[in-house]
Order: sequence, then structure tokens, then C-alpha cells
Amino acid sequence: MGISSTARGESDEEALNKLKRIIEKQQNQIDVQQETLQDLKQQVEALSAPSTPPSPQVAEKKPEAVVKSRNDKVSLTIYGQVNRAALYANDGDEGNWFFVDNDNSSTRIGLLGSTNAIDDFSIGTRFEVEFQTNPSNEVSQEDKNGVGDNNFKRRHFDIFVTSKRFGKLSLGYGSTASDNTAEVDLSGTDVVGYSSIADMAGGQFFFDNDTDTLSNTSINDVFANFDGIGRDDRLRYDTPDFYGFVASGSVISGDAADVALRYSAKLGDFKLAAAASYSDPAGTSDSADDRLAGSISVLHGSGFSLTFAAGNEDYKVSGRDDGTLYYGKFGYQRKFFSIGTTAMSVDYGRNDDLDQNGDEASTVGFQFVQNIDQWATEYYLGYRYHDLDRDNTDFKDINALMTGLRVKF
Amino acid sequence: MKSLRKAATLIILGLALTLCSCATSPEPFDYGFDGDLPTGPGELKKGPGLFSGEDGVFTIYGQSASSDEEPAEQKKSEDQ
Repeated sequence: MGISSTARGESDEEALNKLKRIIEKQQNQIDVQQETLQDLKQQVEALSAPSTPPSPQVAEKKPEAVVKSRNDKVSLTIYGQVNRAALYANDGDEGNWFFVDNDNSSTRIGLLGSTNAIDDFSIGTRFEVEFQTNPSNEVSQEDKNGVGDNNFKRRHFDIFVTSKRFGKLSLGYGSTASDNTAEVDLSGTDVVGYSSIADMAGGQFFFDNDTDTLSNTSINDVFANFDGIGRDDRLRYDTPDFYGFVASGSVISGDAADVALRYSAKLGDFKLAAAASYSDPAGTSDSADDRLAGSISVLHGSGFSLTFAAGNEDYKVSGRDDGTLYYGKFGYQRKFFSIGTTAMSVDYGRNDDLDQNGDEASTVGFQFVQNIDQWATEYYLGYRYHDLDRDNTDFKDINALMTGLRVKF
Repeated sequence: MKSLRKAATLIILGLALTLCSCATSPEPFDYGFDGDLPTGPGELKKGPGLFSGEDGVFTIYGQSASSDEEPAEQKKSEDQ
């Protein structure tokens, strides 16, 4: 009896151990299956989830440049603007509407190349052309449409070497030293009116009241600002900035030359810019022997501005009086609206003896410009009255109104 | 008359430049006379472009004007 109870106790223990092992084995299998299920669940979630946004680094990554350079010390940029307007001109006999390219600042495109400075020296190139269909200074009562070259026209084909210590040397087709010296203007309205009076409606002919016909004298013939030699094939040197002063000189292909002095500074609440030049275009001009030109513009912190320009041209033809220019502009600019600065001005100009001795051409104008900063655009409206007094001739006045948009792209 | 007009023009220009040179304690002001793209009447306006953005020019290759400024701004913030 005692033996049999002992044997039964041993077999029970064995059975328990066997069950224990079975349970452990099954628990392991359950753990493995749970892990497998977890993996599968994650895969299903990943597949069914919407596509995730790229990381900020990926989102901000700019597309690769289409054009590449193997030289990492250079840059090439493209720039330009479109400037289109509606022009109404009335010669006293009839009025005409034109859709024009505003010659105050023509439609154009350019490429600018530059390099990093090496030992203070850097080299750059500028290639700029304009394309004007119906230029505002060329359309007329007799030529209302399809006016202009219908082609690109040169503005700058230039190579320049720049140094802060030694200045700038430019070789190519571009601004001569005297270019822009009669056109300094801080009014903010120059896109529709400045000292170059004929840019708005220069092609319009004066109507002769005596003969009751259109004369062959246009606004271009009797208004000019004698702005030096303009752009030409030249070698030009500009000194470094010396307390706001920069002196320049250029020699032009065909035996012409000019010198200029420019100044710009802030004096208290006033911003001031001025320029003056003497040019000798005798070798390249059919009519002019020499020119003097200058302009000064002051802008006060309150927004009021004053601009003056003057010029003189000595003609080759003996017996001709010098042509002269006097020009003044009073302006005001302020940010009335959040979209951008509003600028307005009135101006007066007078040219004497340009086309003939005794000619007195005068003009009064009004300019309005609304900047639209977010569009890099200026809306403008300009009015100009042109009067020509000539001995023994009675010309009617010409009134011109121009409104348009300049978009810098 | 001819020489009188020339003299008047010279006097006006001379006065303008004298006024500039006599000015006291001037501070720099960049009108845009120099630089690779001068500004002023007849020229491009300073500032941004409609499509080119802040730079006012499209950079075909090389460093854009705004990326030139970035390191300076970054440096400033690092300094702070």
C-alpha cells in the first residue's frame, strides 16, 4: 500500500512537468505570432496612410539650375522691364490716340555677368538691348502704327574692370562719361516726365496756323536736354568715390571726348544728387561742336523734392546761336496707400534756338506715379503742354496725355 | 548773347556743385550713379521684380544677391 502511493506521487509530478513544458512552448509560439502581427499591422498602416509631406529641407530645395558654370566665382543674371502706354496727342487741329512704348524708359532686356573680386579687382560684362514697337517719341500724326525698328536696338555691350581703390574702367558700347548728367531726378516721377521733354510725344508735328497745314517741325526738333554724348563706343574711366564725388572721362571712337563730375550725399534730412559735364562731340556729330549739361535734385525727408537742369550746345554752323535748356521740377511723394509710394510733380522747361535762331520752345507738365510694390509695377499718368514761338510763324500748341504701366520683371 | 547764355549755364552748374562741396557733415547716399546697373531716369528702377522677386534679377547661375546677404544675416543671428 505504501509502495503504491509512492509510485502514484512520482507519476503525478512527471505529468505536471510535462504540462508545464507544453504551456511554455505554446507561450513562446504566441509571443512569436504577436510580433509577426505587429509587423504586419505596421506595414498595413504605412500602405494605407496618405503620402507624407516632404521634410522642410526637401521642400526648400530649389530646382537645379538649367544653365551651369564650372566656375563657382562668377554669376550671370538676366533682367528687364516692359513699359507700355496709351498716348493722346492733340496738335490744335486734330487729336490722335496711340498705343506706344514709353520712351522715357523703354522696354528692354539685359544680361549682367560679374565675378568675385580678386585682390580688389573684379571684371564684369553687360549686354542690354531694347525693343520698342511704336516708340512714344516717334509716332506722329502721319505715322500712327508700325513705327520703330521692329528689331532689337543696342543699349549696352560693355566690359568693365572695377576696383574700390582705383575706380572703374569700361570698354565697349555704353554710357559715356557725360551720359545722364542732365537727368538727375529724385522726384520719383521720371518714368513719365523728366528733363528729356521729347520722350513723351516727340514725333508730333506742330500745326501751322498761317498755312492751315501740318508743319515739318516736330517736338523732337525743338526740345532737347543736351545730355552729353549719350551711349557710344568708348573707353571710360570713373574714379573711386571720394566723399561723394566721382569724376569721369571718356574717349569715343571717331574723335570725341567728354568729362563729368557727379556728387551724391545725404545732408541731414536732405538727399542730394548732382552731375555736370562738358563734352566735345565734334568728331561724331554733324551739328554740335560742344555741349555743357548739368542737373541737381534734392529730396527732403517730408517727401518734397526740387530738381533743376540746364544745358548749352554750341553749333558747328556759323551764325547759329547756342541752343539752351532750362528745366525745373517740383515734386511730392508719400505713401498714401499701403500698395506703395505715390509720387506727383509739376515741371517747366524751356529750350531756345534749337531748330532755328529765335525759336522759343516751352513746356509745362504734370506727372503722377503710383507704385504697386507687390507687382513691381508703376502706374503713371502724365500731361504735357508744348508751345513753340518762331519768328513770322504761328504754331498751335500741342497737348499730350500719356498713361500706362511699367513692369520690372 | 551767346557767351552770356553759356556763362549763365556755367554759373548754375558751378553753384550747384559748390553747394554740394560746401555741405557740412554729409553722409553717404547712393543715388545709383555707379554700380553695374546704374539707376535714374531712363534706367531700370531699383528694387524687386514681378517674377524675379527680391533680387530684381534672375540669377542664371552663381550666387544670387539674396543668397549673398544670407550669410551675413545668419552670422548676425549666430552672434546673438
